[in-house]
Amino acid sequence: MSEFFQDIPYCFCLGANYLDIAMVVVLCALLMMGFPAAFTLAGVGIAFAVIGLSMGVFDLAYLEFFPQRIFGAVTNQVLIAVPLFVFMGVMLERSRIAEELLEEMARLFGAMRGGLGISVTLVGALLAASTGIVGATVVTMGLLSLPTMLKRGYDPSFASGSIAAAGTLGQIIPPSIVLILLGDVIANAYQQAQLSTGAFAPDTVSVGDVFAGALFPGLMLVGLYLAYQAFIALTQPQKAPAMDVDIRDKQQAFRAALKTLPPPIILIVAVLGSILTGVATPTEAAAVGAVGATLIAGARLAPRKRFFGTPCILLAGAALAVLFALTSSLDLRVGREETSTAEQAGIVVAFILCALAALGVGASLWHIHAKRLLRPVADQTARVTTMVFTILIGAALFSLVFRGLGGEHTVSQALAAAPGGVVGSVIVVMAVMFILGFFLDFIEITLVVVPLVAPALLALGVDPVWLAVMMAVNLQTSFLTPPFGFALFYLRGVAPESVRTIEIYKGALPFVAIQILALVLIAAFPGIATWLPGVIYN
Amino acid sequence: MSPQTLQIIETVGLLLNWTGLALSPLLVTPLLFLVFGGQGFARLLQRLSNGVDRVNKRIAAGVVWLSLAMALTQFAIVILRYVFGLNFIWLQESMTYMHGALFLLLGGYVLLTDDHVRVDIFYREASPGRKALVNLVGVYGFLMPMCLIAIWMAGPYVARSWAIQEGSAETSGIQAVFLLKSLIPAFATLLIAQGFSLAARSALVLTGRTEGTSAAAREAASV
Repeated sequence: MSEFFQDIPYCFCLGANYLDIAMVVVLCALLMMGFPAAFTLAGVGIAFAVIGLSMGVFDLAYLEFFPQRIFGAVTNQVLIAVPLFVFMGVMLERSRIAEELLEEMARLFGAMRGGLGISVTLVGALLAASTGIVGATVVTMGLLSLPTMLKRGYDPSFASGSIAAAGTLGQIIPPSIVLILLGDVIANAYQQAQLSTGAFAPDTVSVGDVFAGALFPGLMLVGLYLAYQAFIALTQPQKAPAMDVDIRDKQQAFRAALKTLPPPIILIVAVLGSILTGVATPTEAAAVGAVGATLIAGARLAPRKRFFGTPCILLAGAALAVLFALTSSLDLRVGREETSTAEQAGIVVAFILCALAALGVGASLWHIHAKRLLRPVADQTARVTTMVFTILIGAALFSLVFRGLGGEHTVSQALAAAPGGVVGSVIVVMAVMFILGFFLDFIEITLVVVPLVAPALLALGVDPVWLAVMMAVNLQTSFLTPPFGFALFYLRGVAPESVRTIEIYKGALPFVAIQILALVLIAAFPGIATWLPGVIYN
Repeated sequence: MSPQTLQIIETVGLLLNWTGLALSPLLVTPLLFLVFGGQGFARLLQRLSNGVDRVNKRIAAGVVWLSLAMALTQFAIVILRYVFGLNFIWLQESMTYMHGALFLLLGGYVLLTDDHVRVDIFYREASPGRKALVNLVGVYGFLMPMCLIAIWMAGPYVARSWAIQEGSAETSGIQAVFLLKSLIPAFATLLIAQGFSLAARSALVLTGRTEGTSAAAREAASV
């Protein structure tokens, strides 16, 4: 009898040991209910904190860090880039620049076999970069291009696969918002891992490193997509027929494209370039992107004939370009001991240029407002930003409790016990993330799962940039994989009834194969991800 | 700071505390309504819910513009730094204040507009009644506990900050970190209020008095 009673506390302990695992299982189950993920995360955290308290295995002091975590999200200088990039993306979308870009590209490449598919891939790569939310991109592209492609005789399967895949491309191509979040999380995890292994002079990774690391893998994916589309167009022309365009139309299209294509492309390249070359922080570059998008939108929407319309806005763009040139050739810093006459003159000119730029930005905002678009842009930006950071808050509470219950220890033990050493652990983590990708969006996985597994992996000596890129490509694959992939769900929602669900699934499969090929390539040749950051930052 | 000012701040704090406690029974009225029902009760809930919606919409009408203000401010910072070599700490810090205010004051509004992302594999296809049930369970099981914990834990955290009038680490910074930290209980309060509104609407749907929570939300959020 006494033996029996001795066993009871042991049973309790055993139960308490598995609380952290139970927490994750319960979370996944309850998320399926469909209540907003941010609050479900927090609610599950609190429930298990209460259970842990009653079993005496949880310290309430862990919860006292909750306000500090929220405040940490407020004061994080890197994450300030998120609302600014969202602003840029929403501005490009609402002012229909994204739409125009797609139309122009389609006209430009439409006369080629497979041309429509190719333009969808290119626009997806270019524009999704700044929104970073899978659903939004797939929906936009699906609404815009799927009907056109079907009307031109594209195979429904091939068309929907191309669109779903293009919609997920934006996640991996910088500057996407999820890469900012992932970079921030990986940076913290790396610091933690190095402290735990007792490194004297800890290395750091930055969001810039992750951007640089993701650039080549992203471009490689674009290249592989295009190659596949070209291959289909050549071997099975009936799946991707050319549009009939006569010569005059073609020239006209070319001239129109010359006008509409360069501004957004220059903007995106400038934003990305300034981050990658280390000239600007992501936040600073994002602000340039946001204001640049405002100018482009303003120039498009403003009346062309009036001075305070398009001319004034174009002048502002030119003024900013001259200002840039002037800054790189003259030292314009004010408040120094000695300034030469040329520099003084330069400063005066710079002031005038700034005034012109301000005038142009003002005119842009005015005309966007006049088209009743400014408030929707601000509103949409604010909503997306709030959504992202509320998940951050919920995830913070969840992971505080998870840590309090010893979850970190469990995770690192489980990873250490995985067969095959480091490689085995990485494969296990990738497999788990792939499956979670069926249920959770990129943001949630980045904020909940990555902080739990990354420190353990990084402590085993895995390269942080490589890990981030692998995770990003892996999740992107997950979103494309039938039958659960997020991108396919969203596309089903906007695709015409005539397109059968099975056709969407079939169309996605070749792209899933491409994704897996890319994962294998990056795993086999880590240099694809790590070479560029190494060159830029060392 | 003079003892009188401290006294006043403490009194205001206590007052807020007691107001919150006094109002807290209201939070469970949607559940009571499900048990007892009644025409008058339904009208009361509808009115309270509409009132909360209005408050959060009114707040959002101003706060959403911070997104534009942030873009312009950061752009100005970039020009000042890279062209003229000027750094203003208060300007850089103002970004943090706008950023914090943006997402902490809009938590409730975004719940109203139903933009907090859901795992909607089953939810999307669910009937209005089922959606209402999910929302009711979610509000009482997840949202309200989170907000109450936030208020409970943030109490001492924010009070400490007020007691020393916590300012910036930089002398030329914005000396109002205590206000910034006060956004945390504000976030929880606005969210809990909107959670109540969602619960009330869900309860009305479950008793067959309105047709759907998300339809009501869309209507309420249309600007």
